[in-house]
Amino acid sequence: MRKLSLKAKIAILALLIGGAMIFLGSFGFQQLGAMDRYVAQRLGDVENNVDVLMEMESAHLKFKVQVQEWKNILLRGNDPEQFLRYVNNFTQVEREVAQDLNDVLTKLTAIGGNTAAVMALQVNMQKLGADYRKALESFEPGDPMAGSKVDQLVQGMDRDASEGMTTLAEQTEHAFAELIADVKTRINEHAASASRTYVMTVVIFIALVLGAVGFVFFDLYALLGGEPAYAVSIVRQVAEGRLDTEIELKGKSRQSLLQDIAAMKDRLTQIIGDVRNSADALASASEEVNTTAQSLARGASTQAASVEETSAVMEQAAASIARNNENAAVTDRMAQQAFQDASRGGDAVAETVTAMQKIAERISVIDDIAYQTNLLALNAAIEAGRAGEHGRGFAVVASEVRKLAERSQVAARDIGELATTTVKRAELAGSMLQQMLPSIQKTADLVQEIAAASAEQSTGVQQINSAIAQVSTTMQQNAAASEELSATSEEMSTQAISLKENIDFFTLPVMRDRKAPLKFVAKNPSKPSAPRPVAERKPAEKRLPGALEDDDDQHFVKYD
Amino acid sequence: MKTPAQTVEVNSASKQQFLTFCIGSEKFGMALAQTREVIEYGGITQVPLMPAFLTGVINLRGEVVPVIDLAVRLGRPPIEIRRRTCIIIVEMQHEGQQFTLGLLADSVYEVLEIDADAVDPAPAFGANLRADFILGIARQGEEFIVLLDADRTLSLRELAKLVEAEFD
Amino acid sequence: MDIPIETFVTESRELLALMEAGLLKLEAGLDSASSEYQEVVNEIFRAAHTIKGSAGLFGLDAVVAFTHTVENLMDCVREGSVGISAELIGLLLQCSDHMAALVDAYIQTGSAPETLVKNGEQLLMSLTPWLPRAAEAASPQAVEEVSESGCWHISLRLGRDTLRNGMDPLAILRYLAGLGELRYCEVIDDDLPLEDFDPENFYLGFVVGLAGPLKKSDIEDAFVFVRDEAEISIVPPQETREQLLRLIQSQQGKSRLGEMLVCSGAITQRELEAALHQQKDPETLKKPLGEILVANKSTSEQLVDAALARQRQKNSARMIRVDAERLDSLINLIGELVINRQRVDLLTSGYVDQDLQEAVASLAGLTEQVRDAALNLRMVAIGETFHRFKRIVRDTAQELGKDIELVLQGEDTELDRSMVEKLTDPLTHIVRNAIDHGIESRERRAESGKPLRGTIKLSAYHDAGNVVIEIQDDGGGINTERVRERAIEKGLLEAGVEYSEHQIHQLIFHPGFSTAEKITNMSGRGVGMDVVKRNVEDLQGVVDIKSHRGQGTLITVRLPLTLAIIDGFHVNSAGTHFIVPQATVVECLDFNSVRRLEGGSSIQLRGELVPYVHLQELLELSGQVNQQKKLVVVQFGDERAAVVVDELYGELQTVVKPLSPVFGTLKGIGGCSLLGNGEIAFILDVPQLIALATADEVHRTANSALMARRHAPSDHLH
Repeated sequence: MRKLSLKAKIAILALLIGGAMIFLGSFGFQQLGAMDRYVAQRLGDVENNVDVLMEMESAHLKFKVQVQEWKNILLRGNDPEQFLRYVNNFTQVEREVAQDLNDVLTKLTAIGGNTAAVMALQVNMQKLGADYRKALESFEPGDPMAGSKVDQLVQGMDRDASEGMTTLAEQTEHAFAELIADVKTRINEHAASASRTYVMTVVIFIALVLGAVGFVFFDLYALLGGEPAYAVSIVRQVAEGRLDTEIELKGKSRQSLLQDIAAMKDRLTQIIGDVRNSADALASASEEVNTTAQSLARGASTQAASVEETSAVMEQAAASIARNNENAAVTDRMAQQAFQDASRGGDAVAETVTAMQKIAERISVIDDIAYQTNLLALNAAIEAGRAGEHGRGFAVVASEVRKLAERSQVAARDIGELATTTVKRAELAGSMLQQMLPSIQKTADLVQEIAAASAEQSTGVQQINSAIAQVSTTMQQNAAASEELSATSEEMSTQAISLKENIDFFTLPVMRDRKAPLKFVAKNPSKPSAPRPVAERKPAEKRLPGALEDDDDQHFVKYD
Repeated sequence: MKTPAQTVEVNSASKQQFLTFCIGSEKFGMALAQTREVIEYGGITQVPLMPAFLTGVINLRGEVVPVIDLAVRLGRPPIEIRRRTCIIIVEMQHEGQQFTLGLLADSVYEVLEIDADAVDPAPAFGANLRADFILGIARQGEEFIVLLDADRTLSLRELAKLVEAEFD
Repeated sequence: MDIPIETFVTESRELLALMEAGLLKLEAGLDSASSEYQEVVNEIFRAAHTIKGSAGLFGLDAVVAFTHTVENLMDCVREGSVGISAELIGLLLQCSDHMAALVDAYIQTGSAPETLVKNGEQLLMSLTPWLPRAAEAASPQAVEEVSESGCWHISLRLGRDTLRNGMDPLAILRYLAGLGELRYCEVIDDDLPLEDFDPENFYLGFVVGLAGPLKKSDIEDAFVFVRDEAEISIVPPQETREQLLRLIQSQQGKSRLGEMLVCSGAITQRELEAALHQQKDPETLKKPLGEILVANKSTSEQLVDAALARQRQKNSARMIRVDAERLDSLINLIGELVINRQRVDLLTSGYVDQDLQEAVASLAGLTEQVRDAALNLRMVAIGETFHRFKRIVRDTAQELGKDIELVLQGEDTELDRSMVEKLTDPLTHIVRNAIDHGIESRERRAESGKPLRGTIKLSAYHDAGNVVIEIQDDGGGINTERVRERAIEKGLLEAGVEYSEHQIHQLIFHPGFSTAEKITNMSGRGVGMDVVKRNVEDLQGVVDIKSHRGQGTLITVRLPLTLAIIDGFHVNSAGTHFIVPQATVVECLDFNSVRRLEGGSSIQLRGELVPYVHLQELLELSGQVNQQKKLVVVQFGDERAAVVVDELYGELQTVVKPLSPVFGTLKGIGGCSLLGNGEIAFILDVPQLIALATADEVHRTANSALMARRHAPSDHLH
């Protein structure tokens, strides 16, 4: 039940009430219905009995008629017409009586009444009838005294029937009256019982509902823990920050709203108190942090400076290594160059040889040309000769040309020889170069090793440099971080103050055994930055528990 | 056009120019007046059904010139074609008609001016050459140069006859 | 000195030729009344006249003096005062010869030798019977009214009705005065009648001198109203005359005399029309326009002559005289061009560049055109040569007392210049022979029932790349028997052996052969026909003779159309290049795909048996051969043969280079040619080649029956 919300409870309640009402209503309805049916039943009985009664009455009446008619017959029967008429009437009425008796029988049978009497009557009637008829036979119409004769015959015959009839009628009436009384009684009884039941039910239900309502109400009440208005006022107070209000609790063990409110208030108080303490602590902490940060920053920059120095030194080292490296590389290149030159020298020699061969070829070409020039000169001489006198000058020219051609040939030969000599020399040079090659190679290799080592050094220095650089970077990052930190702590401080201001909104009750408020002393930022042991801080007044706080918390010491 | 070459007689008291050339080990000379030029050997097309001395024809700047193996003409073994082998182009006259011939020679020397005094008449025998071919023998220092009579050596009639003979 | 006088020489030679032709025409008989007669006569006159004039220009006095008389005579003939007769014509012919001799003498020596001059005088003497008595040369000279220098000389004779027509002569004169400076004005009153003087008639004439920069038409305009009935003569001043002369001489465009004169201002249109009108007048009988104009005093003779000269000049400007050497060198160059072009063809055949190929192809076309044009330049109509024979025939016939007519046919047939020159002698010899030995005397002819006048027919025509010249005479034909006897005598024939008539006739061409009983000036020395034959063969031609006793002789000379460049088919056999003249090539086949006859070397070609010969074997060529041989079917005359070669290259055109005389008797090869790559190809002489083949075969098979059979076709070859 506790778990259910109020809403649920009320809902149930409502349902309950509703259900009860419906039930009651329907029950009542039903009862009425039952009553109605019962009454109807009884009335039915009555009706039936009424019918019997009536039929009996009718039969009785009609018997009388019948008798009357018999009489008529006996009296007036002398007239045949009347005789007939009265006989018919008698028969008719007899029949009617029989009919009525049948009906009674039938109805009686239907209602389960005693039919023996009726049946006996019926037999009597029949007998009567039969007897009369027999007697009637002896009726002489003509005889004035026929009637009387017959009368005499039938004397006493009708007694059974009539008595029977009368008895039966009386019985029936009597039965009927009994029945009526019975019915009445019964109905009354019934009604009374019904109403009793109904009342009881109503009473039960009312009790139930009331019980439920009471239950819910109590529950609510319990939940509230008191008067709602009271709770409201308490809450209002709390809301106003007056955490020092006393709450009257109805010492119930169950948790009620009020209780909770009380608890809440207490907790709030506690929390606020804590917060206040924390805010103080925060403020002081942030101060400290600030200080630390600044000192950090300072430390970082000092470090950075020294790192810079180191870095500079490393740079120099790197530079000198690089120079070494370069020199080694240069030397290496030179050695390589020397090697290449040497091998090129070898190639050059080969080329020289080829070139010389080409020269030789060209020389032979020149030789050919010289020869052809010779021929040409010859032809020219021929022409000159043929031209006779006019050609003399030309002949001279021609012979000069021939001489030139010869000189060309001679020169060509010389060149040829020179070429051969050069070839020899070139080959010699070539072989010398070949010999040089291995030592050059070795030099080159050594230099390469130097170069390699240098390179490694250089790499190492580079790495150091980069490490330093990283440190430096880190330093800087640190400095930056601490700057940030400082900034952040300032921020924090500000926030703490604002927090405290917010907290001041709340009025706290006098403290009991709670933690002592934590206060932080706002330090002077210009003080030296090295982190200090806590003990160095100024001791401050302790806050008295329960005392009203005051806004000026600066003198309180921080506790851990 | 050149002025027509004129045949010269050696035995006139004057110097005369001859083109000297070599066949085998012998040196010969021919009057310059009839020589036109000297060219290298090359581009000879054989002419069908020709006698041995007619090596063929060459295309001399558009002119078709027959080439004669002078060695064969002079009764020596045919010239072997070597680097220095040349063809001496000569112009001859015959019955008013001019015709050009090429002569195969082993090599050509120079144009020499030969004094008529330095020329001896052809020997009766011993030159291993038809007497009528020889104009004279010239002395040049230690050497002897056989001066050929172009008209006789290269007589068109004879040559033509020799050619014709092939067809018979 | 050179150029003008050369022009003079050639011109005068032409004119003399004209003269001669004209005289010959006259001799052949012209009705003196016919216009043709007049024309010819005029021509002759003018020729003489011009020669005289030109000779005068060059100071060839002897020519001038001599020609002057001739000209006079011709003028008389022209006028009709002298009649033409055979005797005169003969004399005139002699005169023209003399004139030619004079000109030649001048050219050779620069002066006329005494003997020649004397001859001339003698000739002139013989002309005197025909010359008019008048010492003055009768050549009409228009009265040249030489006006004072600087002045137009106007002579004016107005018509009778001038005044009646309302004209005022004075007004005209005043108008004239207005045109320029009136130097003088004289009245001519020689026409005043003494009787029948009609005061309303106008009898006067004026002579006016007008100076100023005037045109003749300007002056003439002054008389526009009166000129219908007036006689007006306007003579330009001296300077103007000179001007006119110059104008005429430099006339362009107009080629008719009248137009030239009008254009230059020498005459006015009106004067021309008047003259033309007069020309139509039957009375003046088609006098030359110039004469009419001079007669009408419209202009001076000088100007007319100048105009005529100019006309001639212009007409002859249509013909250019070209130095033969230059032409030859041009043709040589073109020959080289052809070769080079083929080289270009060869070199560029590998390139796919379409533009290049097109350019090269068009180059080929152009080169061909140039070649043809150049060759055409060398072509000369044989008519010139033929015409020369007219004189020869006439003279010779006369000498021998025979009556011979020379009929010329195909004078337009053109052949190469060089050939013409070389043909002259052979043809002359043949003609002389025909006249001498061919045509019988009149009596003999009469006996034989032949017309008294013998006919020698010279005809020329083209036939399949050849020029054929036929000399046909209707004389007595060759006496075969006599020839045979003579031949046996000389040992050329064997007695007892049967020879065909044709074979015997061929002997005429044998050197030293002559059946003539006496040696005449012209023939009979026996040095004739063989020389003829040689000359013809030198020209790569053939000469043949057909003769029928009693009917006549036909000598046929067949020459190739052109020497210089031929179209040929390039083939190769055993490494040697040959060219088969296109004109002889019938077709080319693959050797292995033709039906060959067994047991012989013939192929069956469309039902015909064609003998073939392996060129390589025939010419004993040594070189690489091809298994896939090719066959070239050639034709010569009516015969066909086939030549087996190794390679067929295709058609080419090339310059024919004559073979050196060393190869004079080379059979089978008729010249050589340079291929595009500089190599030498031999041009096959198909007839000779076949002869060679025949001879070869004869060598190989001693079968006489074969010999006989082979000889039959070969008859046509010699």
